[in-house]
Amino acid sequence: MTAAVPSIETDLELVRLAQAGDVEAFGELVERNRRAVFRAALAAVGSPAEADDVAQEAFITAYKKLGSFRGESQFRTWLLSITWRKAIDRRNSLTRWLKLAATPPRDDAGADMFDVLDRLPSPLRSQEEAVADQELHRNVTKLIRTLPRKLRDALLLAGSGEHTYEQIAEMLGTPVGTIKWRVAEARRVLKRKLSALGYAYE
Amino acid sequence: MRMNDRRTRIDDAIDRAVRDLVRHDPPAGFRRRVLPRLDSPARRTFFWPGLTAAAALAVVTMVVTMRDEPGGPTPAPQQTAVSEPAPSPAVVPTAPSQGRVTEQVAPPRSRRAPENEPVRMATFGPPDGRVSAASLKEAALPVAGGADEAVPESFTMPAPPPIAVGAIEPPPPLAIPPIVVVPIQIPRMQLMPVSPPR
Repeated sequence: MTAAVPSIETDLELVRLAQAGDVEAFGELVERNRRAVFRAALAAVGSPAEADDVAQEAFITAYKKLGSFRGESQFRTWLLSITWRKAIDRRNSLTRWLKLAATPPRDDAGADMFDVLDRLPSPLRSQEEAVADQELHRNVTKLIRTLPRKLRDALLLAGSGEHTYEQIAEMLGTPVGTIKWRVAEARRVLKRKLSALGYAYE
Repeated sequence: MRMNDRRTRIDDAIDRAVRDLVRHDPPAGFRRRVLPRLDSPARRTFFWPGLTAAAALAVVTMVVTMRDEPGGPTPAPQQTAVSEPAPSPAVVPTAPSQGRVTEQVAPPRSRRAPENEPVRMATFGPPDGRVSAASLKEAALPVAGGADEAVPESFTMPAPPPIAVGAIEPPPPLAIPPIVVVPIQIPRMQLMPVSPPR
């Protein structure tokens, strides 16, 4: 049942092997796509722990539905669509809402997502500038969380570095032009809100 | 130049915030955790929403029940003992009774008596017109041979004697004195010149 995976180039060939029952071939597909799946889930649910759970469920569902995959689209696009549906189900689930309601909101929400290197003081920047940048970063992070879902999803997926506009459009079931407009609109809204906070252009 | 700097700085801040929010990698060992679950039966995820809904329903039911009874659970009906009745023209003291139980008086449902409030005794009987032993005349009561003799729980009251009401005399006519109107005297106003402002 399980065989050593030869040097295979395409996802489609791995899919064919996995459809024939080769679990290791599917494992290779997991390895190749885990980051894209995880980041798509993270864009939807916002929590790394939940995104990990969603990503696992997405791969398991894809494995069970592998027989229905005919290769008309890319495997990654098909997989990301499954992931997005799982993530949206999770985001809308009653259990999640109750968990969030029971968790007291943190004032420094999002601070743990700082890049460690960004926190280190740079000798080229004054301490005042560093503090101002950190405050700006916190404000932008908070404002991103308050964006309308459609704008926020498009912005985060586009900024993940793992998904093309075509894949995002396929995931969200929306034309590519709409996705591009949402990303631009999200940035406009953020700038407008930042302007109201005092970050206006001079 | 400065505008461009600011714009770049804000654009950079947006890009960096987006990057920090989503550019994470899955925890190590992801593949190792996924593969063993491939052949396992699907999780019964519907169990948790069902359980949650049931718990929420139970909480709502409890809250509604507590709101119906603001004073908490209704205490059981208490038996009120009759104390020595106060002398009253309408009440004749009954045979000496020692803590005789007359009837059950249930407390109001929606009100709890404060702890420091004295216990209310149904000395003159319930207020709704029912008959209690305390409001009976001695003659109407069965002869009580002693404290140990059983007292009947109920008996028929004899009909009261008819009340004779005499004819009402017409009231005397009212004498209203005439109203005298006195004109109001208003003193004449005197106009004084206003001094110029300083």
